[in-house]
Order: sequence, then C-alpha cells, then structure tokens
Amino acid sequence: MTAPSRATDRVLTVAAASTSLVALVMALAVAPPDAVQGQAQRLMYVHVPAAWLAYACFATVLVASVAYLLTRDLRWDRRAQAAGELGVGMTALAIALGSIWGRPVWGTWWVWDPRLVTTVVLLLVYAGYLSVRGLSDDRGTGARRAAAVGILGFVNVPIVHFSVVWWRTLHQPATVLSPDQTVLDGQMATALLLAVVAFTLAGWLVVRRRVRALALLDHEPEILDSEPVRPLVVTAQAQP
Amino acid sequence: MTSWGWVVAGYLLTAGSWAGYLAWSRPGRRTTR
Repeated sequence: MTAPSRATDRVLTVAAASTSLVALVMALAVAPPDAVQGQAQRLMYVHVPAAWLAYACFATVLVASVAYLLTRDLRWDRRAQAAGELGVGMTALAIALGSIWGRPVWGTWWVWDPRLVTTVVLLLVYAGYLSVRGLSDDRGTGARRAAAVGILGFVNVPIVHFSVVWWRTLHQPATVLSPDQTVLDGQMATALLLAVVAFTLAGWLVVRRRVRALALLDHEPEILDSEPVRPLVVTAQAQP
Repeated sequence: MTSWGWVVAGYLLTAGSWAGYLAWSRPGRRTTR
C-alpha cells in the first residue's frame, strides 16, 4: 500500500473536471432528445452515473470490509467508511434525480414501485452502516460491526439492480447492462459513458481525500509522499 | 415547467451535491468521527 500522493490528486482533479465538461456538452448539446421522452431524457446522464457510483461505492465497502476483517488494519476500515459515505450521498442523489425525472415523464414524483422502494431500502441499510460505527466507544468494535453490516448490506445491490427484471415495475429496465442487448443511440451512449467516467473519477478523488481526513481522526496521518516530514532541529547555544 | 426546466433543475442539483461533497471532503476541514 503506497502513501497517497498529491500528484495523483491533481491528475484526478484535472481528469474529472475535463471529462465532466465534455460529458456536459455531449449530454446537453450533442446527444439528440429522446424519441418518446423529449428533452427530459437528458436527466439520464446524471441519474444513471449517480446510481452506478453508488453501486461502485458499495462494492468498495464490501471488499474493504472483508479486507478489514481479515487483516484488522484500520486503513481498510477508513476506505470502507469513506466509500460508504459517498455511496449514501450518491444513492440519495439518484433517488432525487429519479424523482425530478419522474415528474415530467411519469406524471408523479414518487410511486411505490419495486425499483424505487428497494433503492430506499438500500439507502437506509447504508445509512445504518454509517450509524453502527458510533454505537461503541471502542474503535475496533465499531469497525468490526460496520464491516459485518457492510458485507451483509451488499446483498441489496443485486436486488435493486434486478428489481426491474424480477417484478412488474414502472421503472424502465437497464439499457446498458441489459441481458437483451438493447441498442442505445451512439451519441447518447458516448454521453452516458463519459458521464459515468466523470462521476467515477470525481468519486475516486473525494474518497481519497476523505480517507486522509479519517486517518487524521485516528491520529494516524497517511502522510502525503510529496510532503516529507521535516525533523524539528533545536540548537542550544551557551551564553557567552 | 418545461422539459428543459426539469433538466436544468436536475443538473443544478447534481452540481450542488458534488460541490457540497468536495467542500466537505476538503483536506484540513475540522471534522469529527
């Protein structure tokens, strides 16, 4: 495990910002409006990446939680926590954007639909994952309990993803990760792919930053490799 | 509201969420566990 580097942060910042800019132009100006939904379909280019990043964060929580239980190294716990926080934020954003998209297209902000309900359950499970950490004053106990919730909670991710296949639903089925290979317009697919890349890069950056903040709270600074710690040199001179 | 109005609302919410998260994860921000 190498020390986090500020140079990597800079590369991620530039890559995320530039990809976001191109994705924004593609999504709002280049990609055509949908044949059925019109302009409102452009919300897909933010709704789907938010949901994708939430899935990716929860997968990171799963892997980091297993690694923590195997190694009891708090660095894995901090990665899991940082990813869990972003995952909860992205799930909430995906729900809010879905609601904004639903209003003009479905005619309602909310329906008690399998995809929507399972996504809210996912949000609550991972909000619980973040809360369970604070139930014990002992850092290790909190981390161990959180890891258990983080591993068991991941069961919800495939349930959310396949809810549109398993149950009768108003929500449209997956277009990209679809078993029946639905063809998406080329410019729409490019805009969506760029937006997914932009969200992933930005998410990677903020999780790295958050991991360092959490390390400081544990009094274990994950020191930036570009900032060597200078030893404090005290020189004493005898009075003449 | 027009279709574009919903789109703009959604994109502004997205931009605001990211700006908030970037500010919150800013190195050196005083924070508690």
